[in-house]
Amino acid sequence: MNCETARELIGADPDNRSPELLEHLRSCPECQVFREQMLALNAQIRRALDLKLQPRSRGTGQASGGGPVGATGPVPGDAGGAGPSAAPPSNVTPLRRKPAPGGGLLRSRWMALAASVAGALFVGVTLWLGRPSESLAHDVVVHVEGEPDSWSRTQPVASEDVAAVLRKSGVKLGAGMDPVVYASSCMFRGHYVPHFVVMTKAGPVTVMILANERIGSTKQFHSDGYSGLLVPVKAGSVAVLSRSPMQLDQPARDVVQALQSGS
Amino acid sequence: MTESGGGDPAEALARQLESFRPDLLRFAFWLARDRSIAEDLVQETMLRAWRSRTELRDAAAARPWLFTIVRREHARLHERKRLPLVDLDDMVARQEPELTSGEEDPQILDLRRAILTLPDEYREPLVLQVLGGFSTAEIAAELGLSVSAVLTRLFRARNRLRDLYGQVPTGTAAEDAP
Repeated sequence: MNCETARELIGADPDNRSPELLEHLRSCPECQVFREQMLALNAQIRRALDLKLQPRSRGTGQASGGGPVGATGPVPGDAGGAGPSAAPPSNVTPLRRKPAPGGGLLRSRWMALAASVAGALFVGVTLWLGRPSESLAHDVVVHVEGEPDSWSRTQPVASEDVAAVLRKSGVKLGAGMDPVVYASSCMFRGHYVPHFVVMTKAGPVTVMILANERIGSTKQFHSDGYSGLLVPVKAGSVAVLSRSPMQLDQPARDVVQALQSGS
Repeated sequence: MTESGGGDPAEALARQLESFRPDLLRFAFWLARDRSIAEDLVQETMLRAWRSRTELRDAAAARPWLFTIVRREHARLHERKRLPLVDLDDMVARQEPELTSGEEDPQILDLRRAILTLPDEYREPLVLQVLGGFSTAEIAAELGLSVSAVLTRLFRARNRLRDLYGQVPTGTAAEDAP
């Protein structure tokens, strides 16, 4: 086993005790140090994940339930149960319950109607608020899917060609980005935008500089096998996209810095 | 399902399921990154587990079985969303009360925020491994991935946390693992 394989194994599973790894560690002090550090980090991760969350008490009349809770014993009458002894855990509140008879039924219907109206309003407002960014991310993915060849490029594009793309879109870009292996000035939402693929250490990343698309804050999205970030910049936004799970923060930072230094 | 103790088996199972609730809530929170959704996921998990209790043959398997139900419920929740968007800054700010619960060490709090912002592809196997105690083979089966893909994601997850957390090991760190 070589150092690279050993570190991949340690990074993936610091508690790994395979004979091959242990044998390598005996003869490699550097990997031994790496392992100790990863074990320390793992202990911190374990501590970080161990949130002290107390289940919230669920009183009667909640939207998601409404049954008696906090009882000390099993509650009979579970819809999926098989008799009196087949009761759910005491804190389990059935999500749907039969309406109470008589006046309770009328009240329940009025409450259901009111809840429906409120729910519809909430959904409408949420959709309205969420639409711009969601639609932007969707359009970016659709655009990138339309240029599948862009991902297969490996040779750096000449700086003059990159400059021409930028010029056409009216965007100025400073240094600092990874090598550009694909550069195109694309029509996107009625404007010419620079569409680059940069070759990062982790693989190709698509970058689109969207000077006419303003967003409020950084958005992360996943769609159709793509992972992406929409990052707000001084003038518009930047879309950074990869076809496989990878860190996009750094490529996004590089683009933002290049934009800043170019302006 | 086998019962180790005496008394009413259904009551014993109910108690056992209930004993896992804090673990499930933690797991659901790290999956959903939202306390309210996590509560609902756990609630739905308890109901489904109860209704499917005859599927559980071995009491010792109850915990991973419940984790699996939580994960599937979470996946089911997202199946309906075509293009989920997450505002990372807002999300971390919104979950601050949960992130700071029972912890004052600023480094751990930073690490929690960093874990919360990990992409799903990295966060989920990491949480299954560290919190759920799943082996890499079990995670692979759970997520429908190869073992090597799981190892890669776990490696990258830790690498990223190490970077965000500011802990940089000496030597030739394998930054470009597959």
